[in-house]
Amino acid sequence: MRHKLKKYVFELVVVITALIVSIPLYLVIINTFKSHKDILTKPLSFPTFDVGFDNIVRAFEKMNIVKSYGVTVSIGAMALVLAILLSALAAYAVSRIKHPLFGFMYWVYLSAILIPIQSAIIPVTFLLKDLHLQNNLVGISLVYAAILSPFCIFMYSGFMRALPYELEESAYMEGSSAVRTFFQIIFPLVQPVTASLIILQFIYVWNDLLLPLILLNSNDYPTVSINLYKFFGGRGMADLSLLFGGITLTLLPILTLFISFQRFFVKGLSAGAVKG
Amino acid sequence: MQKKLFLTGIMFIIPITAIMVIFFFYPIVQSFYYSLTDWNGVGSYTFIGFDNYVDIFNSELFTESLKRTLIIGISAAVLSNLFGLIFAVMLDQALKTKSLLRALFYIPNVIPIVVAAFVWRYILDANNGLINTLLSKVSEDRVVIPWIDSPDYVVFAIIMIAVWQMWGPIMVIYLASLQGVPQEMKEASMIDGASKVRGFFSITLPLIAPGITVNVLIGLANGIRIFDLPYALTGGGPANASETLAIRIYKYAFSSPDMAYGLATSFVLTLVAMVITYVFIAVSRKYEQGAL
Repeated sequence: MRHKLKKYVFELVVVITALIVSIPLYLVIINTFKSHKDILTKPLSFPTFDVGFDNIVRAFEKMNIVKSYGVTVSIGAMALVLAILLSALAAYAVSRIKHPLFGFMYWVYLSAILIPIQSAIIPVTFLLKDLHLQNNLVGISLVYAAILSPFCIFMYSGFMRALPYELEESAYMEGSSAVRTFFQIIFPLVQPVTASLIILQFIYVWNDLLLPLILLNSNDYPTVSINLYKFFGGRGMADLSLLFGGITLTLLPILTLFISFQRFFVKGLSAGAVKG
Repeated sequence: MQKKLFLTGIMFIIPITAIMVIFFFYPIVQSFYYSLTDWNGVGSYTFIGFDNYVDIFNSELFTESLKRTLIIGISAAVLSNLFGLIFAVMLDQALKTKSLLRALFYIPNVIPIVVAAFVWRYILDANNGLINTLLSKVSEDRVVIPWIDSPDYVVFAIIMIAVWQMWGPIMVIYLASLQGVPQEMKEASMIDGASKVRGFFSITLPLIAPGITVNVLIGLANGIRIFDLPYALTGGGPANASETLAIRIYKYAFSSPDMAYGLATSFVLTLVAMVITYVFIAVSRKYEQGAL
């Protein structure tokens, strides 16, 4: 009986905390459908729906958001294809081949997770200029691939180490090449990690400010986050209803993605990180 | 067979390693090399040894931002791990609402940082902010506490928002680690008469130690390089009071002729990350060997 009571108390504490943590999200949801005046005078109340989708529509027209979606998705797609495919290959080598060289490389990749991108960013700008990739979507995607891969390799290695070695052995016996073995046998098995890495790294690209600020011209290639920042950074709190409309346009796609893939995601994240 | 496998492995690591070397490792070496010169991005340069480092350590802008970065990084990492672990333990008690709650805790990490910064700005704004509006309603007077507009409070605000953002994923990893602790081990400690708390410290904690190491390291790494949040929240203000090393590097490198200072600062940031990592790994090794 006492045990049961304790469980309920725990549950209550966790639920209340979860609600407090969710206040910013709640504010976005209700204030997106309110006028500027209502946001100021009745900040916590439910919207009366006389505004409808006006704020979102106005922000949509003024921010040129479609272009931003295109830019961000292009960068994300290029960076992820590179980072995920190539990291999976490298992780296979460092986690399945017993040789000191690969053990050493694993530590190299691991330490790269902890080095901040700022350590390299100034020379990277000059490098991209030399390669004619400054203010270019391919250029920024390559840099993203370089900084996202170490974590991808770490996650994949953790998962691949737990796979039984007999899997490839029989394939090799039959004379299947290593590349074919990898893509036919190993890669399908690590799907949970792939799914969670796609989401995790896409969120990173969608949310990042630093690289687009430095490597792209925001008039030519505004990413979604940069667009929102530039659009409201200067004018601050002048029109709160427009601000919340813009916030929703920035938040909704990524939140939808997360919620749709949530199941996958928790599994993959746990499997990779805990075993690694 | 082994030799063939070795060559295959080399083929497998070459592509991504090449991308990392070209766009990450080699530029880091360049950063250090050019930080020892008076190069400002164009033309020739001379070798000046550690003069840039002497200059930045004599500049209050730099030393203050170094201190602030350590304070923010360490506080955010420690607090988000503490909360993450406590709430993972509570959630682990087989709650009915587990998956929904887990998602709610995780969502702040999915919210774009610009969005988070703007919403928190609206909550913490001195004049029209939500908190001050509510406080004014309760206290009959107009409350104007400058949560993010005063140098005294802004660092606390940033730590709080950083923790709000970071602890969801950390909690999820702890939850997974806790599920790996065999139920019979927990029960065995009960039968021996060990109290719940002692059981947690002597059985559960050592078993989830690898999870703790990963989490604290990732927390520290993210805390020390923090850029987006202070940049979008206050732009490093008021009066540089929320400037982190990452923002300092950005300002040196891209809005003033002090490029060499930016390079020196970025190398200091790299060193800080390395030292913290090394110290932490040494400590956790000791713990795993039972010396602590």
